[in-house]
Amino acid sequence: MSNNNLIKGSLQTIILKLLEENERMYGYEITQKVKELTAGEIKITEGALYPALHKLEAEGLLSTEIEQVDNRVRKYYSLTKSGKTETATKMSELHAFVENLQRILNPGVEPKLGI
Amino acid sequence: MERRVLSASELTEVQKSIMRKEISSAEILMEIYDHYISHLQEFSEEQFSRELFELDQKFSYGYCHALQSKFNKEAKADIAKTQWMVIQKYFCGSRWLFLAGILVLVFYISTQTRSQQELGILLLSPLILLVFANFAFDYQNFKKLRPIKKTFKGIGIPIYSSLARPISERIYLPVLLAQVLVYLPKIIFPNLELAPFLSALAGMITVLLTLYAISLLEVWKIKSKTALI
Repeated sequence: MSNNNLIKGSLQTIILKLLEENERMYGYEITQKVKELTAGEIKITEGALYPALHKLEAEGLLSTEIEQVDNRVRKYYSLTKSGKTETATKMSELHAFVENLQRILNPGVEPKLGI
Repeated sequence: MERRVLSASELTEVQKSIMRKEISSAEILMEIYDHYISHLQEFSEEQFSRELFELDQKFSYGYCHALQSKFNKEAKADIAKTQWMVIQKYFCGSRWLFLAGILVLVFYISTQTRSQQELGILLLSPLILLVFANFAFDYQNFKKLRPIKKTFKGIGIPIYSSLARPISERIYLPVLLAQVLVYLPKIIFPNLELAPFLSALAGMITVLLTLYAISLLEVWKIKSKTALI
């Protein structure tokens, strides 16, 4: 599915939402979770994922933990207090955007979304 | 598919493949290595080479270096931001009492000094604290980086922690600044007589240096919980 441009704009929201639901995750786990939830329809590329994770970390929205796993070091990401607040803000922004998009795409239909 | 354990030769192949990217940042190295292994564990031995090739295409040399460079910049900004936040906190809540205590103590000591040597020792005290902190910092950093360095033995380039570098730079900064503070007035104003306010000046500089040193140690304490430092 060619939806890369659509995903780009909401990648941060996707990451934040996943971390809100899963407490802590590592990079590869995030890509797999998105693939699993969307039955492979949406694939987060590594090229976009890690810069986004590092940006969110630098903005103080994510905190990290380092753990030894099977003879290698793994970096886990989790939401900070401000990350939790930002998730709520971004989710409501996305919700409002999707509703407006629905209004544009289906002018006669009242949007009823359960995001 | 069930995750399998990669063989020693497969692991070596992965390590060699990542080493070719010449990444020095331990944080980036460990993250990419974990991504490679986690991904390859989901595929059979027959699919290994193809999947490794595909990963190499995604994590290209250029991409890895761009990621590293951006991460280094963000780490530097993060350390600066955290130290500033720590310093600001000294002026909030009950912490300002602690700060005021240090201030009074240093000024009291500075008024009790009788010679320039004693003032020099006073000025040096926060720097000595930083020197000892530097030894401890380097040792802890060495210990935390050891597993990564062991995995990528023979990489041919030094592996460092992106977060450790800005802290090390900040440890050395006051040592350089102290040199400037001591010699610069003498060069610019050779006839300047500092003696009347020397003790007050030394006291003020010591307070600033102490505040700087303590805040830097606190940054290390905060970051050491979650990073390779």
